Amino acid sequence: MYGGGGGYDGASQFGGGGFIGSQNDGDARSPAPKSIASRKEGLRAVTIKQLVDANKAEHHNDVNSFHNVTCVGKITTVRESNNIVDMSIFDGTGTYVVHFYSSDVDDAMAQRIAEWRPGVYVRVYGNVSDFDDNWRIQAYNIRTITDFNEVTYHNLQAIFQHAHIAKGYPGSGAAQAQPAAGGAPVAQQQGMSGFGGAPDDIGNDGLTNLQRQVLGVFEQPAHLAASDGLTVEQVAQQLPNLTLKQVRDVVAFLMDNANIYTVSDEHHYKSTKCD
Amino acid sequence: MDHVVPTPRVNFQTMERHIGKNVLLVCKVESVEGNRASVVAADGGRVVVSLKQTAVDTQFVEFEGTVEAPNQLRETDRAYFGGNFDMSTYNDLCRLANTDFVSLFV
Repeated sequence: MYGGGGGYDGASQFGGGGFIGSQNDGDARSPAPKSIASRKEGLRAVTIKQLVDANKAEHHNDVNSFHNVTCVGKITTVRESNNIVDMSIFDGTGTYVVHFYSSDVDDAMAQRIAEWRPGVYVRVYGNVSDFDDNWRIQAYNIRTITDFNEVTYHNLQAIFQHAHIAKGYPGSGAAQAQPAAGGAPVAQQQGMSGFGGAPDDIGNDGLTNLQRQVLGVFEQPAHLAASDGLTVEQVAQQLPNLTLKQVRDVVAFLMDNANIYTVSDEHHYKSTKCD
Repeated sequence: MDHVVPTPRVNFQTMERHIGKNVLLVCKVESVEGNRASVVAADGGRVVVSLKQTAVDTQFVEFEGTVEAPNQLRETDRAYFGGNFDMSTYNDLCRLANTDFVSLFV
């Protein structure tokens, strides 16, 4: 775990998985021609200013195109009614509206919602959408932050992903020309495999091989297309090299990272990757 | 409360560039006397914060406020960051957010 003053153990500590360092992210919202591929982009860690700039931009490119995003910010206003929570979050770079709907508010969900009060830091996962000419994040998961190193981590991840897309893959000429993103040792501390980072089990998507293997099962075309989701046992059957406990632990991690979500009941999971 | 946009994340070194403006200062609280707190910024610089409310619950605090002098901040809001916060890495973030990657933040 992340220790005070000790630096990061790895890029996966705070749930930033899902980033696909594609040069071809596309854009799901711009007036420019949209492609199906653009809807398949990975999870992007962003600052609110990046979202606001993207909303204003007439021309989108790989650097300022977002659809599936994660943000970290402080709640400034919150309104709740009929299983719907509308809040504004502020991260110092801007303020953004977040809309969250839960079809089934059980006790645990009610307790989570009760925690979302002004002044509370949250991590939001969701899709950027335009609703009545107002941009907002349609959240599919909101989590209260308890370890505030996550604020640091999130912003560094936003920098890393931006630099990764803007400057190219690690080892490319552009990346080598500016190692460590401005000379700082941050990327190395994070164990991210880019910008001078040491080789690591964790890839550019923020996942270990094990996590990627399990996520791969959820992202098989047949399972993306199906609506009923997979149980831990079903995933384990497809991965005979892993124990049930390993699969269960990874599934819990992928849930926290919003790579997968529950469907129908709490035992069936489905990839958040759009099919 | 209304939050000013942008409110950049600063350490002691970058705080002086924002005199008269709003910033976010994550710091370690050393002592509190009356409505003034003596704090240490992520890069080790010492700052005096004029508090909005005197009780400070945790060692690490994110103060939002107006820079009145290179080493003085007037608080407008705060968030408690607990007792375990890596100031060294946060300092790296402040440096990157105010230099190479400022366009993502301000």
